[in-house]
Amino acid sequence: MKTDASSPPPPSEEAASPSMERLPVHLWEQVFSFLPVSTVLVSRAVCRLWDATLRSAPFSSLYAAAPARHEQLDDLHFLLFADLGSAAPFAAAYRPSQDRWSALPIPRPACAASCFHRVHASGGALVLAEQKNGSFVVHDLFAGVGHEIAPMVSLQGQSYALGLIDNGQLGYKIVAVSTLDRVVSQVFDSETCLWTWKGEFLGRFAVLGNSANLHGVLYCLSRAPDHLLAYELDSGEWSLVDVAMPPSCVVCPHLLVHRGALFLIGGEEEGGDISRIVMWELDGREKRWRVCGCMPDELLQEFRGQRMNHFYTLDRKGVVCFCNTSSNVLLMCDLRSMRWWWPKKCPFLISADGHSWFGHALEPRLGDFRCSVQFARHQKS
Amino acid sequence: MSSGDSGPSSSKQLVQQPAAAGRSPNQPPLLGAGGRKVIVLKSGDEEEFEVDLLDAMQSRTLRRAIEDGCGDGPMPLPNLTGPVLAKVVELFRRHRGDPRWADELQETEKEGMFKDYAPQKPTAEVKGFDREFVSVDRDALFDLLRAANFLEAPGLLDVTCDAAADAVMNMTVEEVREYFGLVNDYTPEEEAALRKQHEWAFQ
Repeated sequence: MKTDASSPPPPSEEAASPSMERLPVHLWEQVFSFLPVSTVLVSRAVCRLWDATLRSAPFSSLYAAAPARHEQLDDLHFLLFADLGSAAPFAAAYRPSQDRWSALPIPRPACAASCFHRVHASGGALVLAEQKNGSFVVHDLFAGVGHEIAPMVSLQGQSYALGLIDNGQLGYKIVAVSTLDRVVSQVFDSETCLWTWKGEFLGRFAVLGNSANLHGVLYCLSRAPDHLLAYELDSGEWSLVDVAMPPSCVVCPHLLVHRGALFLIGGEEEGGDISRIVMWELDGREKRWRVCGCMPDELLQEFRGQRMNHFYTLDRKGVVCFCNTSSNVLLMCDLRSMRWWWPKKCPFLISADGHSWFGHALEPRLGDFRCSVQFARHQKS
Repeated sequence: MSSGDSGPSSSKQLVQQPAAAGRSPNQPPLLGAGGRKVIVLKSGDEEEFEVDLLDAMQSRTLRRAIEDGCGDGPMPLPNLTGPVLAKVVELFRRHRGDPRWADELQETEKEGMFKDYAPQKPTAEVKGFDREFVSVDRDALFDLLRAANFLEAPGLLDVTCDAAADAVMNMTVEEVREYFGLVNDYTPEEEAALRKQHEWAFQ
């Protein structure tokens, strides 16, 4: 770096416009540490000095250690729709902080077989995608890099990913389950690049729904019969949480973590139609789900339109997105303030061939996404 | 950089006055009106400000100087102007008890000086003051940033760095260059490549 941070400015330039040369680099690092990842990336394009500072090791460790905007929503992206089959696939991403849409490219396939077929799970900045040829990739969609991982062990073709836990520079884990005659789980660890069997639960369920990670425990809802299950990530131990499920018939349930507690969002069905969308909070002491809010009636009427038999729910950092699957109408809610709003209309044309719903909430991160080298080594050995 | 006594640290500039005779380091400074311990800060343009000793301790630079025993007479701060120092002193007063630095004070407590100085969460009023504090033009913000850096005051640093970051967030790359007086030293191809690499962030 050509600037000597500690040297005082020449007095003759006192009246000139202030510049980076006149503030020590460590002070700029402090300023930059208050930026969201997106602005850090944009700021690299300002000049070489900024680029060097923003890529430097001292800044990286400062940024990782004290994420000043950790609680902010600046970089929250709801990747709602995608056209995976097109020649230039992309996801339509909604940013609540700006009420704006942007197009996030999905890796262009090298051949038809390697295009994203289905995204199984997501967490942090990462998605786990299955390619047309059946192989699996973990991809950082913001950085545009990814790598293939070994496929999960399939038990009679019935294994599916339950959750992806992105621990940033510490790596990531994927939990997959099969639910044939009992729950059998396997975990992929980016450190070892291996799937290992870890835990089983003697219980018959049709399927396990979305998962939510709270204090190292992956919670998920089972369907048919409906229960709340807990999976300890460290020990691989499964348990059935002793809690009475909501008394009414809940459809389209979605589990989420907010303010360090577990919440459940779902629709109440009446005569084949969804008449209410309710939110419950888990009351551990009373061992029940306590109603803590619902979609206001006038919003529900508009959200539902003529008819709604299914909706998706997506959340991250206390921001929830509802999508009516029949009409693609979207409604947002910030749980921290219980503020509801209609997002701006998606400006992208996406073919409605049934693959258009993407439904993953992600946030970019700084730093390299590694693992591919290890995987290559593992493959050879 | 080490802020030890031996190095050419910024506290050197503070120790311009002759050491007060008969006073040892760490001795509590003088008492002001009403029995409060106060010190006097003197700006480069000779303006003097009476500051509660405990408020001044928010600055590591001032704390070092006080602990070195130079809090008796007016403490010269030649690189701060009167208006900047006035603002800083007001922020110190409003941030009294701010946990961002009060914890640090408890650790270095000497002779029970800080026993009545319980940390408290910043109130909405303090947050409002902070916002108002940095609602200034660019040059004034830079003066405050430099003052924060020189004084090594965590609360002041947080408020000013956050404001500078806000400025960056609300501007395009071109506007940032203009605002901070930076020259684009990329070739057009290099800049295009950088923008292409994280296209989503530029949308």
